[in-house]
Amino acid sequence: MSDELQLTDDEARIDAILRSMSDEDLELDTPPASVWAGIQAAVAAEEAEAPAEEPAAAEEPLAPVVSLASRRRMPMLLGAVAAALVVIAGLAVVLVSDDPSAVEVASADLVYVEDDPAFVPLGAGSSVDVTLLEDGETETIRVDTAVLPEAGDDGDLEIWLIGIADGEIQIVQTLGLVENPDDPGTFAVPAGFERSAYDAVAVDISIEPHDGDEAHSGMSLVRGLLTA
Amino acid sequence: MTITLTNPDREQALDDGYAVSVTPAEIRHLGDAEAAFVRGDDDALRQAYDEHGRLIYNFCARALGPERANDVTQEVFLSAWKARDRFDPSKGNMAAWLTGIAKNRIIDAVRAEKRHSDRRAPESTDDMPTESEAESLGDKMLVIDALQTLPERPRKILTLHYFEDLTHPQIAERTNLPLGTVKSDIRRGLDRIRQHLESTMAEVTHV
Repeated sequence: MSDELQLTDDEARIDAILRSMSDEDLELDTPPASVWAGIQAAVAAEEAEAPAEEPAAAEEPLAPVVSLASRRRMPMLLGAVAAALVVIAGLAVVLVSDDPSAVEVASADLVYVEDDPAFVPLGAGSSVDVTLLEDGETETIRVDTAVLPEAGDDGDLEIWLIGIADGEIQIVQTLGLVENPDDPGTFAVPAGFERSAYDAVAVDISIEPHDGDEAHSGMSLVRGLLTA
Repeated sequence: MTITLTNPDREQALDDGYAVSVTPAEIRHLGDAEAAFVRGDDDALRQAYDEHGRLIYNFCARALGPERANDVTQEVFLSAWKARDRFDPSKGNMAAWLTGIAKNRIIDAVRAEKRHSDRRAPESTDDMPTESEAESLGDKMLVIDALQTLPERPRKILTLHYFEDLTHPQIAERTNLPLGTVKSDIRRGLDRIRQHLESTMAEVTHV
């Protein structure tokens, strides 16, 4: 109870709580970006599982979006499968990159967004321009210009497609690792990725720690929407 | 979203210049955000997280440590989103509602951890909070949250009184404010914080 005021019981209760605190208690930490990424992924997974879902989400996803908590329990086998897919994607790049019949169908300016918890500060100052090429049934993301940081020894840069419908992320699909940040090259879009199933598709480049977890880390450097 | 809209002495507070930092338009906006959450509008979850994510994450981190806080914070927002039709903005604010959900999740996590550790090393859960400690910590977090929503003058006066241990006359001298203003700001500040802690939805927070 404050010595200098006659307080009601309710006021005295708050007075007692304040007296039990120090100014250090007032300092709140900012949650890591992975917290929001996990919420977003868990909500998307939840809604994808719900019956009577939109057609986009009802289709079998290439890489189901799962919560951070459950993805940690994924068997290591998935990591091996993902690694194999990266190798296949790499081979595909070689096959399609010099094809003269490819048509430019969309492009995206990937930028870093300050104060957005989906992004990590390492991305500040980064920018990437990409073009989506179509050649019959085959689609390729070609990186035209790139200003990207080095990933360092503890991680890799990875490029992703993010399918968005009903204002939610429906799918986060890897295109592979970015081996050379100055000249990333081209990346094949996996055959099962149906752009038309989503309201919008974003290209994302993230930093992926060497933690054995093949899902998106939630730490984006740059992102941009593909527009025709 | 952290302003109590049904404050009976709001008119008086406005007369005193106490609540001038919140305009009617802002209040409508805050109410709209909570209504948007209940409807499940696009971006409403993101707005709720932007507004309250820090509070909930720090509550979980202080109760369970930063490692567990990540998962439990995600569970809290996912639970809240799934049970959004049970949130009634007229019965309490979202910060108190989310804090209630977080408290239950923390208690669940402590119980689960204790069940496991009983078979291993019983002392490993010694630093985990009891139910009443989790409750007190939740109140403390809401007090911290409420302090941030107070206008600058009363926030400064409360800070000087409670964290720098100044007496009312010392605060009056330091701030060049009349002693009566210092006293009324402290009392009104305590009342505001109490309102922030109140949620009559306690019975539906276990979602």
